[in-house]
Amino acid sequence: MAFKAIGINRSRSTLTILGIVIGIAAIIAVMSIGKITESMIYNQIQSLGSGIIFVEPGSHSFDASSMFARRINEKDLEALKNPEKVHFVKYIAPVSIYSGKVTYGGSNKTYTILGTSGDAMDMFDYNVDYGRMFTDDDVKSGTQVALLGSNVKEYLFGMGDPIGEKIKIKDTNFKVIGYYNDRAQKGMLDLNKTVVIPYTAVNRYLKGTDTFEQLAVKSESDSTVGATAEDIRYTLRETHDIDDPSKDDFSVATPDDFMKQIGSVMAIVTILLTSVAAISLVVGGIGIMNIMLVSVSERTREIGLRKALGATPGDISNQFLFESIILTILGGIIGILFGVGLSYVAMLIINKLSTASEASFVVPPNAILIGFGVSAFVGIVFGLYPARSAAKKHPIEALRYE
Amino acid sequence: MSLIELENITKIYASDGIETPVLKGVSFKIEKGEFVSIMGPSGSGKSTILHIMGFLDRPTDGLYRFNGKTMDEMSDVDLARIRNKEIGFVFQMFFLLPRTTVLENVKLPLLYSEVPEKNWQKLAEEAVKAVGLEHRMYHDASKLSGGEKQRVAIARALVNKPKVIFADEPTGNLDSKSGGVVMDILEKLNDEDKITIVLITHESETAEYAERIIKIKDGEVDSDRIVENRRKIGDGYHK
Ligand SMILES: Nc1ncnc2c1ncn2[C@@H]1O[C@H](COP(=O)(O)OP(=O)(O)OP(=O)(O)O)[C@@H](O)[C@H]1O
Ligand SMILES: [Mg+2]
Repeated sequence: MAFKAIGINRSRSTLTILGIVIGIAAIIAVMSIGKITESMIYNQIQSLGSGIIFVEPGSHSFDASSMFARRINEKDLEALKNPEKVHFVKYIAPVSIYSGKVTYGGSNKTYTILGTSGDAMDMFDYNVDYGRMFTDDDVKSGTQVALLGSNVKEYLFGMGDPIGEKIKIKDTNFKVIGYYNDRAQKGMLDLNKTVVIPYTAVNRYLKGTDTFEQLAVKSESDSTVGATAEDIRYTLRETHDIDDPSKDDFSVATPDDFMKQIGSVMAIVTILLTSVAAISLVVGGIGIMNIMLVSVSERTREIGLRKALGATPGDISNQFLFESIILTILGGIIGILFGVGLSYVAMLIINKLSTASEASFVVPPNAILIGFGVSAFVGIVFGLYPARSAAKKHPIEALRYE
Repeated sequence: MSLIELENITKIYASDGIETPVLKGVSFKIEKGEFVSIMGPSGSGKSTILHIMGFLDRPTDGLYRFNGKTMDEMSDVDLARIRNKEIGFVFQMFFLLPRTTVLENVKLPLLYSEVPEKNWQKLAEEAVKAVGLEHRMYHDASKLSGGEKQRVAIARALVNKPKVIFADEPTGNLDSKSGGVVMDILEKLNDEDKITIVLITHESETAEYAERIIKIKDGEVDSDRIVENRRKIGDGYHK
């Protein structure tokens, strides 16, 4: 019977529960976006390990000059490798990227060529599954050796054994010395579609420069990351002749910075959505109270009749409370659906913005429980007054009501 | 012990500092199984008496006893319970829930009773049959004719097997034919099921279905007499 009464004023009810819908959607969004970013941070740490510092050219302030900023080059690398200048360094791996045609026999295809050093192998777990790694000597002398990602090996060699074969990148021959199994993507690079060669070889034969896209530095522990990063900044200012830190033409990013950025964005999003939730729920609750008061007054005679037939004040009060809870829970269910949708969109945006790692989609089950709980609670709080006023009606006066 | 005992009942309405004495010391008794009509001019206090007898309102002063229980000693929840269990109401305006079937309307008092839910359907069907509306069981109550509506209201009053039915001008909104059907049903309930009936009416033909007529005037009992040529079922009914 409660459902019927709600049905009568469907359009009015729909408008009224909008506030509840928005409020609950915001609560769900806050909770799942929190979980999603948490999962992303977790993935980030999982894939890159903690204590990693990325050094890149350009100040990261998006002015045009940073486009032409000085590259990070081999001289910088040598300076950073000096343990007197930069402390607590465990690994330091240059990343030199080239995109070029890889040929073997009759087939060729364009792949990413990653030039790096042995340190990267340990740092990012890039050790080969078959064959051997290139040595420090290979790196030093720029030997033409190559490691193939699983897709590259598959495409060029099929089931055959590539080790010892010669492939051509651009115009230079490289000897395949190892290859990888399928690897899950970590960070920006899909190792499966990559050929890994010594950075010296990339720079000498393919790019003809002595610069890097990035240097990845691993500090000895989480507690030394800050000190290492500061040493790197200091050293690069020296090699780049910079006195004023605000004129830095490079950027040094630590996971801490990254987390801090995400953390502050999350804090703003949380505060924003929480206040949206609170305001909408109060506004929605007042709407519910209003619609229930109208309903109580429209149904005064029905209340009188029910009392005449033996309904106690408690029965009447429960009936209207139940109706208001049904309304708010209905709003809550729609809000939960909207909130889940909102969180999904948020996840897509987070993944677009952060190239570093994939956020996975999670809606915490307790968010849904809380969504239900809060909507029922709003129904009770704002339904109480109309329900009490219905319960207090005198049966005769209610029956006489025109 | 009488089923209903009123002793010097008074009722004074006070609003905006003006006191309106409506009942000025009403006393009478009604026995179990009686069929009593209450008559009197408009505004004389008939409905007020009925509301007090039906535990819908409390008197300002005086003693009201129902089946040995005194109203003074009962809480509002007790009043609701006794209305539900012992009393059936039939009003001039029917008061059926719209957009609700006949059967659901008749079930309404069961909602507030201690009768287990599994018996509701059977009890409601029996009550609908007792007023001869079994072919309208699942019809929307608001689409029935006036006479049919009043019969649904009687079925609803019956469903909890009350000791007494209070009917306040049940034929007031009906034409003479359907009024006759309603009165025949009340007469039969009194005769066969021994349900006490208290009926308010201003039509003497209707009042004469009862065995006794109490006349109220200006909030006091004016006369209380036995009906000599009591109407019986099938006597016909003319306004
Ligand atoms: N809540 C109230 N406040 C003030 N006066 C009231 C109230 N309820 C009823 N009255 C007055 O009490 C008097 C008796 O009312 P009651 O309804 O009992 O009359 P009645 O005999 O049933 O009349 P009718 O035949 O017209 O139904 C009337 O004069 C009415 O105006
Ligand atoms: Mg009256």
